[in-house]
Amino acid sequence: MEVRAELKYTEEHEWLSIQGNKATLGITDFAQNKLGDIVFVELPEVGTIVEAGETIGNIESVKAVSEIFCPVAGEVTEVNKDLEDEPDLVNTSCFDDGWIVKIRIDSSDLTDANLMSDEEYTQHCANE
Amino acid sequence: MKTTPLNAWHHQSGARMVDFSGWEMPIQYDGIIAEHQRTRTQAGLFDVSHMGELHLEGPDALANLQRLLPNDFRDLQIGQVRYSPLLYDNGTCVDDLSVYKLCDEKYLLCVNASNIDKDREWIQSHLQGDVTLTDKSAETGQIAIQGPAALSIVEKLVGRDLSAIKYWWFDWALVEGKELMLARMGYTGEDGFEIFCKAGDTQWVWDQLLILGKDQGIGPVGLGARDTLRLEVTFPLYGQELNETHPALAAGLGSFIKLDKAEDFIGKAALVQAKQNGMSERLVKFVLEGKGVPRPHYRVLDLETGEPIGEVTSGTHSPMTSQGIGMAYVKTSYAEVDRQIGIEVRNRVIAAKIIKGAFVKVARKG
Repeated sequence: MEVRAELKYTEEHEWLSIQGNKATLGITDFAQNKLGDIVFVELPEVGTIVEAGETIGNIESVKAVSEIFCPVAGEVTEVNKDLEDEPDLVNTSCFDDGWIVKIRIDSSDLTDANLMSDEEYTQHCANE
Repeated sequence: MKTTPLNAWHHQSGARMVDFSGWEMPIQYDGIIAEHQRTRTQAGLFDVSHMGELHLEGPDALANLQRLLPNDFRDLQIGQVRYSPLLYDNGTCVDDLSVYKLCDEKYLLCVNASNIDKDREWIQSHLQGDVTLTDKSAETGQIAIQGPAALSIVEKLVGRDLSAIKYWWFDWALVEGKELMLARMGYTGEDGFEIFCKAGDTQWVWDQLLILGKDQGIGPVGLGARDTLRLEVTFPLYGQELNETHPALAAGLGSFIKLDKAEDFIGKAALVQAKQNGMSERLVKFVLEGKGVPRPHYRVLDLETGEPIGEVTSGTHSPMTSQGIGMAYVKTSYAEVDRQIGIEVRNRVIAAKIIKGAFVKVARKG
């Protein structure tokens, strides 16, 4: 299982890359492996306003459907259009080409988002 | 949890294991799509040892089959297999099963793992005359090998030409002192065999097939791909399409229900009645026209009015066509080929079209 030190993580297995008030969100290696072959990613519209903890999309694998949670409030500024034709990018490159959305956030909200470091997240996965 | 003779092998191979109605079974090894495509293009190996084997024998065995089952077994030959639902008096399904004629007065009934106890008790309590039922599930192993390369791999195992075994027929082979029953059939639509053996020989047969089929791309396949494979060719699954609420005729099993055979059978009166009165729902097969994946229990809606008209029984993403496919019970007035229906996927309604035939056409030699 790959975990990257520069990212933050949620209990629901999303990762966030945060630069100032911009956040990129995807799902973790642990999550993509657990879901298996991903065949469809339901993306939000650009401009969607999300509340902290809200569902911003869904990932369908052959076997199951899984919600994508956004841990922090914000506005969707970009979605990964490549996933429309190549949803399996989430399997093959979950931290890079398989990113899901970019969100404009208020960085002061991050303290309430219960995000984990890479070490905390590794421990979290070990407990599942 | 109950386990098959291959349980330790599954664990060692890194399979993801799940609870399948009380059995610890592999859901996937390498990934559902890879295992599915391997089966369609090369050969897939399935542990189906959890299936049940009930042996019915005695001078009255045939008469009991004729009364217990709606299909007709009078012309079944030794070495031939025939599918049938097993019905309650009200015409709904106890289970669906395959009947193998081993010799005169001796039949094997292969039943679903989840229904072994229920079937045995049901059949036992309805037997009449000189006949005995023996549950040999625990002492019997079963492996399915499916795909275009399956025939040649099994031929390597037994060392002789098997092409003369027709689809839905079987033969025996003795390999290194191990007695195998080779039935040319399966649950994927592909050519292949279901191989019955002694439970203690299962691991040996499994290992041999993996070794002999290596050059032809054989690999193990879990329950995940078993489900997508059977759904692409629209084979029903007990507990989803077949159950204790829908009459077997509504599930499209009409060709396995011989209302005109000489003997009366359990469930006949109810089915005749249902046919006369008309059934309120029918099982249909549908392809999603938009992107998404239908799942069991999703609602089926009238596309124009949004009125609920049915429920999805099975659904998946077809690895071969890359579309959402499924089966559903819908109100009879909607059950027409090419008719559009709506499938409610979370907060969206996705248009789907009812089809006839299978989602994937398979070129089978057997």
